[in-house]
Amino acid sequence: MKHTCALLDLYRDGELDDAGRERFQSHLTGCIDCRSRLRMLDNLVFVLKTEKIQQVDLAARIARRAFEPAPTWDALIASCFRPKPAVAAAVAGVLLFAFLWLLPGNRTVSAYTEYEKLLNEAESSNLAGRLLVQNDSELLLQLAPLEE
Amino acid sequence: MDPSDSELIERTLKGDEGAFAELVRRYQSVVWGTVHRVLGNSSENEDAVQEVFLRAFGALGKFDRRYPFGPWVARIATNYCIDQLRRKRSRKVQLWSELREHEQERLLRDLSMERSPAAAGPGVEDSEGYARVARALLDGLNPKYRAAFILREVEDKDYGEVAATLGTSEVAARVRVSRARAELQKRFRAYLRGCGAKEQER
Repeated sequence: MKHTCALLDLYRDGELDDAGRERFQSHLTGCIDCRSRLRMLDNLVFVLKTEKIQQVDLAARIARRAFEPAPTWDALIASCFRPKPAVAAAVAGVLLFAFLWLLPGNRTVSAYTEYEKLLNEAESSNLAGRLLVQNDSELLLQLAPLEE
Repeated sequence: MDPSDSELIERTLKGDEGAFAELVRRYQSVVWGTVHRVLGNSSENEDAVQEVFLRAFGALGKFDRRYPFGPWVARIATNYCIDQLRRKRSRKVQLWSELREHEQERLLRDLSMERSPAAAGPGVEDSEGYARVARALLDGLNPKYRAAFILREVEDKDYGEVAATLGTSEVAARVRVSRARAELQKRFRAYLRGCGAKEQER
């Protein structure tokens, strides 16, 4: 039985001789597996063959694209040096940030560094640190003897 | 009298844009068909068709004009589609899951019935629904099996042509088609079982 099932592909492809075809057809009456596979394939292939394929006429567009001049090496190199607004804006932004960050009197981060330095100093010299904030941009540390 | 493909190719190679446009016009339905059947119905199909012809244009100088142009461009289309499927395994048309459960079951049962919908002939009702079932079944196949199946079963190519298009031996082409058929049946049964299980739950 299984041996005959293996002939399904040959049967479907029309490659069995008359005797083989007759033998397979009589096998089909008793084999639900082969019968259902053939039905499913018939229906599936029919659906795929009759499916409507939506298509657009692309001929003119494709031909235009195909004949567009390919970029030469000169053009590629030149394009690297051509000013690009996004890159220029990013570079300007970075430069501006660096300039503002380096301006004296506006280094909040360094104030904390000073604070940490003084705290370490206080710890090593047995002094307690007291932080005084006078205004938004200024941090002061007063050192006082550590209470026992 | 219309110029032959060979004349159009000759003129294209000499820089005639109109000649290439005419060549595309002649064979774009072949490429649309391959792209649609192998990749499924997707908004990216237009780009795929364009890319296939641009590749053909790039290789036109090497094309041997003693052979017909159609199968050559179909081969480029099939191989391009297989590449795309390999790269984007996630590219699946989620049409099946959009159907309600009872619709899924009805469509599957119809497909398992003798000579239906094939017996109903062109313009069969629910062709959109059947197309969704077909797409769902094909989507699960290995790209190589799917392409081989479509070439043999849907485009009616003989195994020699299938092998030439896929760049493989005839024996390998036969094995791919046979495995595709078996795999489709397995997936089809699994879908039917899924519907049966849901039916029992209800």
